[in-house]
Amino acid sequence: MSNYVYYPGCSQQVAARAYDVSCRKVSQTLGMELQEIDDWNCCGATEYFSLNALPAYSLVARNLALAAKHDVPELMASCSACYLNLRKTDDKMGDYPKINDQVNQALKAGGVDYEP
Amino acid sequence: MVDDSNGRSFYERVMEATPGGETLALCLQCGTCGGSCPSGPDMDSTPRRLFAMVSANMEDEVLKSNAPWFCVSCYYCVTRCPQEIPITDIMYTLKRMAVAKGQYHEDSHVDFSNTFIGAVERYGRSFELGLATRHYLTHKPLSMVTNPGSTIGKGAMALSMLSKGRLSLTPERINNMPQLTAILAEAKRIAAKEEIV
Repeated sequence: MSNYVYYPGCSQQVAARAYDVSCRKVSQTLGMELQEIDDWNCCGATEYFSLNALPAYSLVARNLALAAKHDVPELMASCSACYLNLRKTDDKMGDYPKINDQVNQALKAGGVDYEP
Repeated sequence: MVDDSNGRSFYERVMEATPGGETLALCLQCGTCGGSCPSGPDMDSTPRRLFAMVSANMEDEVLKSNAPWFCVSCYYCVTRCPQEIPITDIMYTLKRMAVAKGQYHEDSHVDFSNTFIGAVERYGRSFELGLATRHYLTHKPLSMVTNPGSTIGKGAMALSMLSKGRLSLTPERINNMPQLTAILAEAKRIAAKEEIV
């Protein structure tokens, strides 16, 4: 049995609900235990990065910070847009110390932090 | 060609505002990006041409181009670019620059982004029904008269989705909204102070 932190994303709560249902079923069959991130928020889709970059990274980073609290190393997102934003934020925070510092400064205002 | 107060050209500002943007200088003008783009036929300039315009510092023409707004963030161009230019991220940069200068090609795309983000900042989650209705009423208010068939079709689809639990009439709200609000407020404060594009 392998454990994953799971980020479903907003669409899978409503319009793409069928995808969430099948994703959870398939994971069960494959012996994967999914732990949904506690109190996750929207990834910002393509919209936030079109308007304001730092809040966009910070929005995603809150999810990464909450996911890290689960103490399970692998994070899974079934929606490709959510996956891209999570991966992009993790990558850019890891590659660019300035982005990492600024995002963590914003996260600190909410009492959390994230190490990419 | 207008340089900013620090004497930086448009080309330099685009590269600076994009992580990995310095690779734009390596563009070969091979056109693989435009040839791969599913939205290419709808764009007034393909990414290849747009990047030539960026390097020529044609700021007004670039910011008014519809190309960044037609980018669907599929990243196909990025995976195929032989120079590993973060094309999608440059498109995001150009959108932010256009919004900051109020120079975008038309307002419906920007309004859509603002309405989407408005719900996220209020509830922590997106709200599809609110987004669709508000956007429709703002940008196609007469569609019930001009295109009743389409309106009835959309209504029927909404009812069908509603009956299957695939449409919510009320937004979902995260528990710790004060935390998210504090994070976003601080991020906006830093972005304004550091003049991050």
